[in-house]
Amino acid sequence: MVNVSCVVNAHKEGNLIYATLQTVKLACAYAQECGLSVEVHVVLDKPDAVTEHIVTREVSDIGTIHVVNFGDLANSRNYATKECNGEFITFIDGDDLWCESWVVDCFLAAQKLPDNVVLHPEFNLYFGSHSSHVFQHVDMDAPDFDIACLTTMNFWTALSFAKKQTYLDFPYTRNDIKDGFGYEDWTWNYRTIMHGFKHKIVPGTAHYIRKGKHGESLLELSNKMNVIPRIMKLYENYDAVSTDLKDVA
Amino acid sequence: MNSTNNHLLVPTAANEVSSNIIGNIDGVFGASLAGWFYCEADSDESTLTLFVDGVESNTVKVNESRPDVSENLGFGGNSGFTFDLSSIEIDGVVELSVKHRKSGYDFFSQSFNYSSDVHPLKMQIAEILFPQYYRAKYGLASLNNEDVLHHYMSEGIYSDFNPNPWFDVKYYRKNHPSKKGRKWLPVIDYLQREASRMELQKVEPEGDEHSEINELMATSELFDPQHYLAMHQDLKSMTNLLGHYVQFGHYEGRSCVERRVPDHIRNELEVYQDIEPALLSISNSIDWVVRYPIIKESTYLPEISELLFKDQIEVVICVPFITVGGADLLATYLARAYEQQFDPDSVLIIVTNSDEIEVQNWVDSSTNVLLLEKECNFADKEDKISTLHRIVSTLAPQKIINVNSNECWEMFRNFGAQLSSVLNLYAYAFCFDYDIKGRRAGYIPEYIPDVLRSLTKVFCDNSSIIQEIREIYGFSDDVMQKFHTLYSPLPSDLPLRATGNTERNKKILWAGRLAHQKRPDLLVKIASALANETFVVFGPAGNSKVSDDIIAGRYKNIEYQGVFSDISEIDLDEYFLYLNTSQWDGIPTMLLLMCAVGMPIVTSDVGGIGEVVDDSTGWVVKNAAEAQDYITTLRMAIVNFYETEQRALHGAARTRKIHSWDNYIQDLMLSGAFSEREELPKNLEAAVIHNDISTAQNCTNDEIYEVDRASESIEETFYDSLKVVDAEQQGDQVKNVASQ
Repeated sequence: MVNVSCVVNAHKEGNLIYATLQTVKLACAYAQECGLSVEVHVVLDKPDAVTEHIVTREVSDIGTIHVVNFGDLANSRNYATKECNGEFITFIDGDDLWCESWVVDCFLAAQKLPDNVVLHPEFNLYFGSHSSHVFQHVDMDAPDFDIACLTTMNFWTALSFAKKQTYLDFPYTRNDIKDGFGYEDWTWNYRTIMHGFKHKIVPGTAHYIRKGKHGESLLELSNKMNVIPRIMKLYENYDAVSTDLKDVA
Repeated sequence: MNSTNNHLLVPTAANEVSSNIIGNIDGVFGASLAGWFYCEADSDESTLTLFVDGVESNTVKVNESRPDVSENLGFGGNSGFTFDLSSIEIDGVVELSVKHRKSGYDFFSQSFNYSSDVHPLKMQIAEILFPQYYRAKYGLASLNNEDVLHHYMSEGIYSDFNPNPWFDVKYYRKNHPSKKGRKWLPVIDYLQREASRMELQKVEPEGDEHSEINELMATSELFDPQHYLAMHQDLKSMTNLLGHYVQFGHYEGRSCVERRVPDHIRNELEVYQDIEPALLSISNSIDWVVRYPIIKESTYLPEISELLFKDQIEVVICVPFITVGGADLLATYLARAYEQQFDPDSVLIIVTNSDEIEVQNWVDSSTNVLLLEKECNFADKEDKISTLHRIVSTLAPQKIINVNSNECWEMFRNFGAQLSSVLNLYAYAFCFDYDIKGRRAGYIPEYIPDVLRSLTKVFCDNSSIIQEIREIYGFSDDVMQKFHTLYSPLPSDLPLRATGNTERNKKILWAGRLAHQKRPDLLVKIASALANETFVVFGPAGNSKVSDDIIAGRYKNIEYQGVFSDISEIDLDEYFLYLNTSQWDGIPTMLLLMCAVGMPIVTSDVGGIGEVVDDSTGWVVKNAAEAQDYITTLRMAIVNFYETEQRALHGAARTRKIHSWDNYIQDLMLSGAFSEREELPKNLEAAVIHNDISTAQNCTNDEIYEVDRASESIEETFYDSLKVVDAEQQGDQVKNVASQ
């Protein structure tokens, strides 16, 4: 039985993915050393040659590589969820890094918690730009968590750890900013909370998140477009754009 | 203490024991316990006894004036009583109760918690209170922010309510195990320690700062005063550190509790730099730890709105203020119309730019009203727009109607695509404004082209503006179907001016804002030329260059009479003619009223005025910009006064027919505005909000993928603009606080 499936979502990170894979390997090796059974899946969504080459070189003998053609991160994650065999799944993007204890600490934390919990790292270390800083996640049981604030700020990144069933029951939806709705990770966090899930942190864990990503100028554009998440009563029944998994290479 | 102004004290029959004994304890006010009591059997002044924790304390005579009791019950004009609690020795928190020994009446066993330590710290308590948080968290939405302090000091503090998000009473109690029981108030303990700190500092200004604040402990996991002081030396002389954080510090992003990345992660960071050298960039800023939430006063407004109005709101009407403007009045008419058609409780007026309703009698006391600026201070305009959007998104009405609110227009522009996908949006458009160079300005050119695709209907109070919009913008016929003329209704009880009233010593009436739009400068020229006539002016000050002079009475035959909110305040018999000199307008409300009461009228012919006044109902000045034309027309109207009066009578009859309340309701109905849910605008056009969106639509798949990835890092964008106050740079205080 596989305890944890580690999913790396990649696209065209090029050489950047090498560091990611090193930390994934470190985390998986440490988890195995602690007695866990882990598997690695790398989902390459319309990759470039460099990314595919590096992944193939680094992962071929330790995990499974999936090359897909969605052009969409939500679809990639949902696809990976169905392919995973682990009781738990955790996601990382192809240019970010995990702390070494991430996998094992999450698993241990999850053993003390009910199934309807999503785990996040305590610290997010944003690196790679002049505004590098640390963003500390908030546990829903912490005194400063206030659900009222969830409509104005997204408390957690999308790089989480949870039961596979959670990701099956609540698949990611794609950003469809043309209609003015986006921030699907924020919407996902909200939706799971509305269905009784708790988002908690695993103390002492960290993700290292790369800033200065290609496409951040388009993020600014999205912000200027007043895109909003579907997290308030008025928009809750809006039909999210369905995901389509048929474009698998 | 005057209890009559206290909102807690309405005499009710519920307090009655028998028909001749009745009373109520209003509560604790500062260091007094007050109420009223009436006992018919007492021939002299009644005597009441105060009990402190069940032990008899002192007594008072019942003899204070209580006109409110007398007004409500018809007796008890001197039934008031007040116990002075400052004279009683009280240790910690006690329970107060009152009894009329003679009859045994005990005010239905009412009791009140009291500590003599609370009132002396009133100012400090006010500094640490976060009213919006308090109202939202404890379901006290119906309290005004101003009432929160009294509620907290009389009830909340004794019920262990938290005064703000950073003081956790349970945490404080838990961390002071030596202090137990209800007799000890954590908030008072903290504030007393703050006071001690300052006293010590006065005595030993150069003393060890740590020794003097050793006693000052964290109020929760979220606020540590010692850390706060250590990080911000500029606050050394601050008398209330928590109060400073509540009022200023958290907005400034000041660090108030140590948040430290653990050593093992720091060590790992060093090791990982061999794997990813770019990690070096975080090494220097690893102590810059940011954590949500970022709380503003506006954060809690959606929650407060939901508590106030629950899920009953179907129609939201946004208006900037309710003063004496025509648009303001129209908004109240709209509310009334929807209240009649829908459930009265389902309509909400949101006033976006005022903290009060200036004309109270325009809004029924049962109408739901939310005054945004009374509820909180907004960080900036973006904060208000965003909050307005969150409020309506929480209340989830079927319709939002904008009557001249700039914030609502901005909300329509920013979120129109999203809003129009789930509800109907409407807006009023009255007329173009004009800038000093004579170019069209105002809400129509600013918003209509952008927002129209998201609107279900546009209401206009006249047809002329619709034709003008069609000619200027060339919208298709389909699009122009959105525009509807809704003639404003008249009040139902309008008097009719007596006719045959041609006494020449009567005056000429002019009413309107003393703004350039209304051309009071032309009035000045007209009055100068018609020196034998007296002109009376009503209206608020405005941006006309003659506004101040008119108000100051500097023109010989122009009398300024101030502002009125209802036509009943004007003695119509004093006037024989109404003059309107608007350079641009829709249909001025005052002109409509004057026409309806049968007042003879001389007016410009701009905007929609011609739909009310023409040669059969008044005298029209074709050239609105020239005083001479007005002067000539006035002379004609006065010379032919019989004709003038006939026109006025005809105008009254016609105006009352067209601008009746029934016609207004029918027009609304025919426009579809009352339908439960009108067909929403097609999203094809709604999708194209800005040119930037079409750029996004043409993105390559790669770029869209990166947007997906990047959009998950929303925090990054937020924190790019959030800068924490650097403790080392005492003079460099507030940085940017990111807006939401």
